[in-house]
Amino acid sequence: MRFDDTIVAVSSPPGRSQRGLIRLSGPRTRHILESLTGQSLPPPRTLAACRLREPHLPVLLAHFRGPASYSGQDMAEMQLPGNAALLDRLLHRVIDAGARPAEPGEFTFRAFAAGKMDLTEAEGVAATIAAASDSQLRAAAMLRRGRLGRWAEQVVDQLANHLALVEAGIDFTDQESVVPITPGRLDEVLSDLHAEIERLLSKALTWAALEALPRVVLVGLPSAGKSTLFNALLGRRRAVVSDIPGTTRDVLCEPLQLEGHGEVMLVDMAGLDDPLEALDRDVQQLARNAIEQADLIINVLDATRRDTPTHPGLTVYTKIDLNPRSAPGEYIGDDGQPAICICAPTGRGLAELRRAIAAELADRSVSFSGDTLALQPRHESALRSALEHLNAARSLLGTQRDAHAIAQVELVAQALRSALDELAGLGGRISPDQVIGRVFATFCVGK
Amino acid sequence: MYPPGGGRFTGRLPKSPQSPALGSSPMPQPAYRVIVIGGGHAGAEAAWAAANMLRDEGDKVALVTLRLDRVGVMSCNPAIGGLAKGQMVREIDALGGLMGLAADATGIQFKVLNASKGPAVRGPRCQCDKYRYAAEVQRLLRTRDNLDLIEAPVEDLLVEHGQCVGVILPDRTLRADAVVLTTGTFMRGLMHTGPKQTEGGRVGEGPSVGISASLRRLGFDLGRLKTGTPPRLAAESIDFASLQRMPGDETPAPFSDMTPKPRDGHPWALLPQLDCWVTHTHEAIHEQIRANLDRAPLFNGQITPGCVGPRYCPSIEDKVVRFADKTSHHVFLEPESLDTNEIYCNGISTSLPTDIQDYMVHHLPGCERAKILRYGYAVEYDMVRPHQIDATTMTKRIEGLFLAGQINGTSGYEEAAGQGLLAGINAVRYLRGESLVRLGREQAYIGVLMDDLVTKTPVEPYRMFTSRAEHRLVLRADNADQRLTELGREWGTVDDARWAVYQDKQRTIRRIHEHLDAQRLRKWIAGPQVGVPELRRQLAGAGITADDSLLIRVLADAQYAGYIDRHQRQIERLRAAESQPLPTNHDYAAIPGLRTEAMLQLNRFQPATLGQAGRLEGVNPADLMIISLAMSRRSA
Repeated sequence: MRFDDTIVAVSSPPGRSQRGLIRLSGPRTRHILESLTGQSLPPPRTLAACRLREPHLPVLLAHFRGPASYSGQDMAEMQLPGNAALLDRLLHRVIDAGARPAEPGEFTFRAFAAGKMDLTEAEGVAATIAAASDSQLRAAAMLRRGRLGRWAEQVVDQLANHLALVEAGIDFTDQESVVPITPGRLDEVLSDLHAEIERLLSKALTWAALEALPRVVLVGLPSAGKSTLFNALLGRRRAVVSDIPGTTRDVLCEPLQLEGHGEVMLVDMAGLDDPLEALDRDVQQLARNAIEQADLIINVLDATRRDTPTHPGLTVYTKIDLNPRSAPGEYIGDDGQPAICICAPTGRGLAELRRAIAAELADRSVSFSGDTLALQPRHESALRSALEHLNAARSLLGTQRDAHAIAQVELVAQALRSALDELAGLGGRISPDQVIGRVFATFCVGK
Repeated sequence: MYPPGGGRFTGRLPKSPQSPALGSSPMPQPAYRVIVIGGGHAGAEAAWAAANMLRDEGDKVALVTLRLDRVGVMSCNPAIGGLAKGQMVREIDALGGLMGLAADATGIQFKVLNASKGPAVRGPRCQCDKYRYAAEVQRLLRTRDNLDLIEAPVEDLLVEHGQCVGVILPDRTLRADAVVLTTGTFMRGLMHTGPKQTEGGRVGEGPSVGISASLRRLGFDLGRLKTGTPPRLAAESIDFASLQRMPGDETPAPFSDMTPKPRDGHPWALLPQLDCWVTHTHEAIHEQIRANLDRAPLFNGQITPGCVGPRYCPSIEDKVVRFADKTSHHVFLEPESLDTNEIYCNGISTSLPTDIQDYMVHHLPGCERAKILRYGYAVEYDMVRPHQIDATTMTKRIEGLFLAGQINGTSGYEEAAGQGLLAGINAVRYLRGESLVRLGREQAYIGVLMDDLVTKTPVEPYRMFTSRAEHRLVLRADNADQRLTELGREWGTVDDARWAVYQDKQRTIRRIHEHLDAQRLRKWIAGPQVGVPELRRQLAGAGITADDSLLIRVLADAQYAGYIDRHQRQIERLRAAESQPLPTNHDYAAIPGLRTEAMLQLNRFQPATLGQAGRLEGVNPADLMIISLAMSRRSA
């Protein structure tokens, strides 16, 4: 694992959010911020208003000096209006300035590696990483199944076939049957692929597509059991229950499949319970925003206490196993409103809750199985890098279009290989062995 | 520039040579430190490397093989090198191996493949006199007086407390501290020519049966592979005048840094050079093959089903079936020796019955009256699925047991030799209690080969291609010594003479760079119009003379500079993971949060480093973080 580069990720939930949050961690953090703002930074650990040069917009910026930061490294957070297009643009600027998109759970992993958490928390950290990775894999799987994925597979397939032709002209030149591709022909193909990718980028959906999902927000007092319920509904550990301060300083947001009733976005604000120094007021504002934008609020109440629901919506009593008076399933609460009693560890009452959510949102939840899914920033940046590699290959070919064989063929191959690697997340990874396989399928080679 | 990228095992205590008195063998024998089983290209290299490393101490190495006169034999095409393979021969040479030396001494046609392309993809190749090649390998091995060559079948491996401590021969037990197993195609070897099946690993030689059974008993998962060889023809019966001539390079370039160059005043003792020839199959031959496919062991089920042959080296019947629309396939006719009339038919490897082979050969233009000296055959043999070794070549199951060559599912002399060399080095390091070494993917094709073997599930005999190397621009024939000779010196396989040659070359390189800097020629040399003649002229003015191979290296480094920098950064990024060791025999199911797919892969492959783990199919970066977390927890 590497810690000497700088990673970046959008930390706020995709979709309708009043605030967007971009986090950075790594040695180049301050350098990147200075290049974005074009001015010297405010003192660490203060939330200051700054103006970015490109995209030209005001942000709230806080930076932290390592090791006194969450990840133990230099870190920063930039808050901006929660507009998906703006977030995307800023993310790309940060990547251009030298950061790399974080792997799922990588901030937490860095915090652990820096000794910010002890070993007893390792399991929780692993769970966070696993959950983040799962959701990314699932998003990738949905992407691959969708129209975008099919498109990307075709591009990857074309590119791999032509890399195979180029490689055949390197590794099998001692074979008569191998007819290497000419520079002119390859340039034509690459030109088409280039145009294809550019066309896609120009009409790519952004995260705004995710706004189509109705938002179901869990609301309740600290330790009412929101995170436990959140995980139980998702059927896996997504939220870290043994709350490590700062791990979830934002709302958690996960698509939740309601069997036969489409999908909703489940929002947990457990992380907002902890007042956090500089960002405190802002965090509370974020919580209020999330509640305002909710399509359905679930009041999560501790069955062992005498709490009452604070918002209109569904009411759920948790920890009924600790309260002998209550029984699972629906019941009428003390306030006379219907409520659902659940015991998250055993799963009792969860089915009822799912049904109730589906009923409340009848006809409003949508299914993801269709054609649309937003192009994630990492995919967009991968497509842009692929374009650069295609350009590099084309500039090598540019001067030799009429030649019979490709000059500097090993450099052309290198560029195509790099482009193919960039597209792996979208269209599937093509191993060198698969490229060789395509050579064997095309040409009769061998002693 | 190329620090060792391999991870290392934790050190262990050095082993003292085993006292015969303590051995459990019925008849105490003099102890060997290393026993190499097999005398092919892997075995010869392993014995050579181990003997060289142990020479100063006078510690003994044994090479045990079925027939001593067959050590170093070229069972298939008598050629060394080629695309990607030539780079490997240069690497073997840079590490003090013997393949390059033997090839230079016995080559009868030298040719650099892809000579018109960039230096990274040029592959030196030569045809050898196959008898002289084997004799030269045997001669070189006999120059090592701490190496005993023993002719005997190995019946069993001696394994005590999970360690391999010797071999059992029919009449005695030989004990050793480490054993290198190189069985080639001999483990339960079965040859096919039409319906005729003969047990054995090579024509005229029997199989090795005992070792296969012992490996199975020790719990190894064995697979079965197939390869083939074409008929050999009598030269005097071929009408060469009607065929296209394929000459070698006008100025042959040797593989080895130790082969004297003409400018040294004592030119290289080059054998007389021969031509190759090319002819072609045609539809009449293809039709005859198609009509007799039911008699082809490859298609009628006679060859063990699921026993896979190489896609890059298909038999002629395979070519005719798979490329039905091709009306002609080339056949290179290559001389096998200066002293005999044998001609190798490169392109028509086959296991068809002899009457079809007769028909095929006699319908090849120029071969109408050709006499077949030996018919082609296919051979199937047992291999050990390579996820059971580490990239050091030591098995994960039995300490002190090293596997190299076709037993690991590879094909090719060069691939075998590279593994043998590494096995010899690590066998000695093992018995000395030193950390075992790996070669990184960025250091050598041998490193790419080993890493691919231990992180991928092979579907066919593994052959090296330049496109398998992501750092292809760095892994060149021209800079093999710069990449590896210092390592070989550290490991003890590079002797003083080779070290002196290397240092001399490095001094010349430094002088060239000083000159280029002083004359502000950096930009000039990176330009595409500058080649070897231009650079030589430029340097001559400053009184610097250097081999073409050095000039090629200087030019390549300059012209690839931007790409090499990018590779270096990538290598740096991966370095930490490469050196983070993972435990052996670890149950990854016990790690919470790991996805099932990743867990299954990790449990099967038991990667030795986090870097290897990351290259397993189905293991993603998040899985690596989770493993890393679990390991830090484990070590706490």
